Amino acid sequence: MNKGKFLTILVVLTAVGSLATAQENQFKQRAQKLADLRGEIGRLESRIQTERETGLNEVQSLISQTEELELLIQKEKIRLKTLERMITEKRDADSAAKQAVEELKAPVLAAIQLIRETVMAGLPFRLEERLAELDHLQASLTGNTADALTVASRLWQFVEDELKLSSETGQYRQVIEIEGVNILADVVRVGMMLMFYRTEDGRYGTTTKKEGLWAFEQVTNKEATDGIDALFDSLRRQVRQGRFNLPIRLEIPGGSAR
Amino acid sequence: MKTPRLIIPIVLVFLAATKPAFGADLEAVYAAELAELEAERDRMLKELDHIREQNRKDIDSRRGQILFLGDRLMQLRLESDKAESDLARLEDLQESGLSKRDQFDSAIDQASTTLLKAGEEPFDVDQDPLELIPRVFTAAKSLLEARATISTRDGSYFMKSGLEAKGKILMLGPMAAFASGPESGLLALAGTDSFRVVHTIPPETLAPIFDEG
Repeated sequence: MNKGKFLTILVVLTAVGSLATAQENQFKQRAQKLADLRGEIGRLESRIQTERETGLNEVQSLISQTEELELLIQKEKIRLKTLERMITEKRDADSAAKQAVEELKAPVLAAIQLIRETVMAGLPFRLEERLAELDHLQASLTGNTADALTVASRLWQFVEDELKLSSETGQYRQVIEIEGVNILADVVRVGMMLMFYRTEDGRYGTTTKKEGLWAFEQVTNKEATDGIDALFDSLRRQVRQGRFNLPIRLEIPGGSAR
Repeated sequence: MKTPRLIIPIVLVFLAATKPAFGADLEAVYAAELAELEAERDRMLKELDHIREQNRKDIDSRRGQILFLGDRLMQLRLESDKAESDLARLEDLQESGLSKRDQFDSAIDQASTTLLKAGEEPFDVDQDPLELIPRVFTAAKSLLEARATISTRDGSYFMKSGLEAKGKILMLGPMAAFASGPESGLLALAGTDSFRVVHTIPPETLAPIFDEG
């Protein structure tokens, strides 16, 4: 009997023990789950903090870039504004200068005409070339390839060349018209007063001006032709000064002087 | 008597192990803690998502702004570069204009010297080109014509003997001069503005020239 009771008690105790162990396991599992959750929350907290900081840092870096760009934009705006102001000033000045030069066009064209008249009325020395130079000046002014100041400067250079021609004597080859026929002849120009010619076929002559028109007139007088020869020879020898007996035909109908 | 005394502790042990009130309390505490932690975790997950989303929005917005500002800066730089090139072109034009003006001034200085040397009235080279140009070229025309013209004037000259004589002087432009008077002939410059006879010519030979001159 005692043995039976003992066994009963043992069974009961074993059952109770088993029950207690199961419950303990359940508590442990639950505690573990809670601990895991707390761990997860801790990690989440850390991730939130990291995420916040990362975002903040990146935004801060972008803000810095934005500020830097805004600063550069401000500088560029100032640069552009300064350049635009300078351009306006230059354009105004340029426009005023152009206007002033444009106003000179008419007086310069008139000046070209004045000099052209002088050339046309003067000695027929390379007339076409000299007039072509004036034509070129006029065309460059009217065609706007050169402004009035430039053309006026070049016109004065032309005048200087003309003045030089008027004070120098020189020997050239030039096509001249003798009795209606064009012929290439040696010519001597004495300033812008006189010209003498000598042709290959031995004709001599000088320029005459009758009723305002220039012409080449043959001379046959031996003294006169010798004088012209002497002048040609002298110039060939580079002697540009001296006394020569030359026929001088002035604007005297039928008259001549030596 | 002995049996009840043995059962009591067993019941107590059992009761202790399975006491419903104690188990229920623990269960409630556990459930509350679990729910609270899960809620906290969910809230944090949401917050994390929210922060990520907010960061993404902020960053996208800033990047968009940076792109916009970058484009604006590029556009301004292009405008500035174009303006700089326009300004350089205008400066070149202005420089060329100044150079042309310098060239003109230099030509006018040269004209003034030449005309003054030729006996023309002096003029102010700094006056308005509108007045200067007609004046200079009218004087130039006169000078060119004079240098291609025969002119006579009364004046004195030196004869071959060295004696001074009064008579008429005929100038063939600047190229030759003749005298008609007590001694007629070809003149040469003696000094700066005096003449002397270097070759006598009979008066009747020179007469037609003087008559015309």
